[in-house]
Amino acid sequence: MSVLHYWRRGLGATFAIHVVQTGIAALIASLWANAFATAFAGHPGGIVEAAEGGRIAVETARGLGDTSEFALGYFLIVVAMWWVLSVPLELWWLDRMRGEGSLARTARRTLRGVAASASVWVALSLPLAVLGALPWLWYGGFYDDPDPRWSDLGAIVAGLPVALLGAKAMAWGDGVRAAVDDQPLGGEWLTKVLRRGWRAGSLRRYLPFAIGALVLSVAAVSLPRAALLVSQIVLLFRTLLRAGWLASVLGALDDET
Amino acid sequence: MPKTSSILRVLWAASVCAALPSEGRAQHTYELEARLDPASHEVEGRGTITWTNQSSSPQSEVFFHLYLNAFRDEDSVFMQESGRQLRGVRYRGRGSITVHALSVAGEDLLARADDEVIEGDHTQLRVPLPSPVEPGGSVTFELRWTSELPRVFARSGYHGDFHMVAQWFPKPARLEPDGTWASFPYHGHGEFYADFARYSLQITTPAGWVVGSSGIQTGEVERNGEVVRSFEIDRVHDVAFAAAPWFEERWSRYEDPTGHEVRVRVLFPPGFTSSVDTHLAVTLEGLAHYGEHFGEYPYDQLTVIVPPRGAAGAAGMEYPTLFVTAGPWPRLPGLPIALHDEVTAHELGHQWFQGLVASNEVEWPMLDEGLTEWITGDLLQRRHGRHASGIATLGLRLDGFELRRAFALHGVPTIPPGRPAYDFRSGSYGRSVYGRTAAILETVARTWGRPRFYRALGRYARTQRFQHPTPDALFRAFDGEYGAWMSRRVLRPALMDGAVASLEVTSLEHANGRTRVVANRRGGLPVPSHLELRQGDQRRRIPWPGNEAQLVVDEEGQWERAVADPDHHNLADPDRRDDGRGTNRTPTPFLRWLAIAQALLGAVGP
Repeated sequence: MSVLHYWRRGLGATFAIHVVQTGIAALIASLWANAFATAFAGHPGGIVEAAEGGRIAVETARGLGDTSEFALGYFLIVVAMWWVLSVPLELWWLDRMRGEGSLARTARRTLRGVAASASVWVALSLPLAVLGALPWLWYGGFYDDPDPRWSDLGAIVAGLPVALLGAKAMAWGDGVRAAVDDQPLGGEWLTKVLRRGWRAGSLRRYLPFAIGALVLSVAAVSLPRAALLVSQIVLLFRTLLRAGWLASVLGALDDET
Repeated sequence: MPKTSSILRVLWAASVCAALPSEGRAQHTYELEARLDPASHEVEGRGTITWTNQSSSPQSEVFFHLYLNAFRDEDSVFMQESGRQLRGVRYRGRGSITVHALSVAGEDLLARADDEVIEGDHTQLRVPLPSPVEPGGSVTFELRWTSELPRVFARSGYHGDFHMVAQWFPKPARLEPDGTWASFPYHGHGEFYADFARYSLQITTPAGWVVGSSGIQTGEVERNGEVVRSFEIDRVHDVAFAAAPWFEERWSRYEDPTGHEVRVRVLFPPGFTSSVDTHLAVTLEGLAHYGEHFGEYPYDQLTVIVPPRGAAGAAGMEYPTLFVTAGPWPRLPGLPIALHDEVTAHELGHQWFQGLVASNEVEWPMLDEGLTEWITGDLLQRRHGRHASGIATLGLRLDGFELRRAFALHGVPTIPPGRPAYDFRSGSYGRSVYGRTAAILETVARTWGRPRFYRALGRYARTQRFQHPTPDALFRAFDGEYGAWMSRRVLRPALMDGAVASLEVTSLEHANGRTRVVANRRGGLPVPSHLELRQGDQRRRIPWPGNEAQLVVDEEGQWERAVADPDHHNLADPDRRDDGRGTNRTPTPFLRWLAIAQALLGAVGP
């Protein structure tokens, strides 16, 4: 089945995912907005002054500091819950693209999806730690050189391997979730799923999608205040782009079989 | 700028001299030799100092400053006050200055000298003279000493091959006209106070090293693998130099309206080429701007040192005709102004306050750091516009003086900036002396007009050039421009007593088709302002005289919002959040938060 076919068949689920994500984001946004309002201690004129050019940003930041512990705490809880939810949601999304989706089926596979996803991170934790230390070691090693380009540019270059490995981890994670099936659980099953996921989650295919999503995200949050409604359209495109990547993973699994 | 004719230039110079009658004559002379040993990080020094009694009474002793001894051990006043750190840089190794010989006409004075004027502190040396020196009389000291540089800390020291050699020679303290010595130990905050003098330097380094020094290089001789460079400078109160083998250099020039040319030399580590463009641009614009308003830079050369990254302890420091700046090596358009421009603008400003107007930094840091902070903000405002003079990055634009106001006045109150440096604790020193002084002065500039302000501060800078003024001289200069009320009702209360002008819109009510607004002023400063009523695009401004503590407005119409000080002229307000009040639930930037939250959630999954 073609990638485009998977993408089209999953459109309904894609929109549903986007709506759920927007709803949870709205919860976080209202927490932040309330913290912002509280920071002004009943002087809404001040909020307008701040919103109209950030000219009193220091008091704004300090006022937010007084309330942000609450806002930040809830934000982290919501993000953690969203992360836990993301595995069954992605499994359901992939199933809908395949035309097999049902909530009961997704629920049955959730544990397998979590186990397979966790295995990816366990497998990559050591190389990620080693490669992640490289830029710091380089930076520290050359910090005292009078020419700062050695340490700074070198650290950026030294950070590329861990960035690429991190991207591969994301792509591999999507690959293994797409490869999760109903075969009996066990070491052999896990090995097979990890192998199939590795091949389906190709870094070469993943990078254009990942960079595209990053560009759209930055564009959405950078739009001027008057065009913020447009940002919702930009973010919808980002979700559709993400659906395109997942459809390509399913296509790659088909090619393998 | 085109050169004027010789006759015009002479006439112009004569008018300047008339305006600057007090340009002093250097009556002390220093002839110093320094040999830098990069391996041991020591400077072997020797020389003669001819000291003239400029006071009205005979002197039987002379005080010298031995400031590198602040880093000799932990008992020094500096270490006790600073807690072994300065501006976020920690003390990492010993520094000292040891005087091996001190004599007058062959007579040793060291044996009778007292180097512990304050118990445990060796940063002052009291030297009894063989015979009293009458007013106008002179005495010539012959000295030999060793300066052991610390790992760079508190403006002096080394980092790898970079050496910042400051506070490196025994220097006589300043004798006040009434015959009392203004000698004090090296404090963490405040170090400068000395007489103007003529300096001749000979600096010896290994061959291949580059040296940037106060003054102008007049000679260079290479012998036995070493290079001896000579420097001359007149009418300065200190000299310092930097040396490193890898310094790159760039030259530029500035010509003032009299045709006097200032050569600008920038020394910088490899890799800083693009940021040097910014340092040079700020320096040239500053020479013109500061020169126009506060008197032209009188020396022939200015040396700018860009330190390597690990030498933050030396960064952001000023010496006559030389300053050390700071900043990142790449010039990136998105970086905040402070990272690129501010340190250069500030250290250059010190060439006027306190390089030329040599106030006592320990007793009156406000006249040094405070005035310099204001002229720094003023230059950044000129370069970047008022609303982008603090930060202009990633779409965020902030007024630099608003940042200083909030930094200085919002939150825990500080003691007033007009207090001596040793009265401050570390955090409150910067907030009060730098931030509060600048905010108060900018309030005067914005409220009563910038041209008048330039004239007032320019009058102070010009009449006090090569002098040692106190705050009274500053207040007299402002009173001369504005009237006696300026110092009595504004500057003294704000700078010496800590008065503020806190505006608050306390209520906004609608009744019978009318709007009633009550606004209050607290803090004692009589800064006139406005109250602005807003309804959609409609605006109505009501004057709020400075002597009215409460303003009650009863206007026809259902005005939505009332805002005090709508133009943000009053920077003596500790909290702007209460400057406005509205009737409606004001919109918050919910859509922006939503987009940010969506972007973050999308990065997490699914």
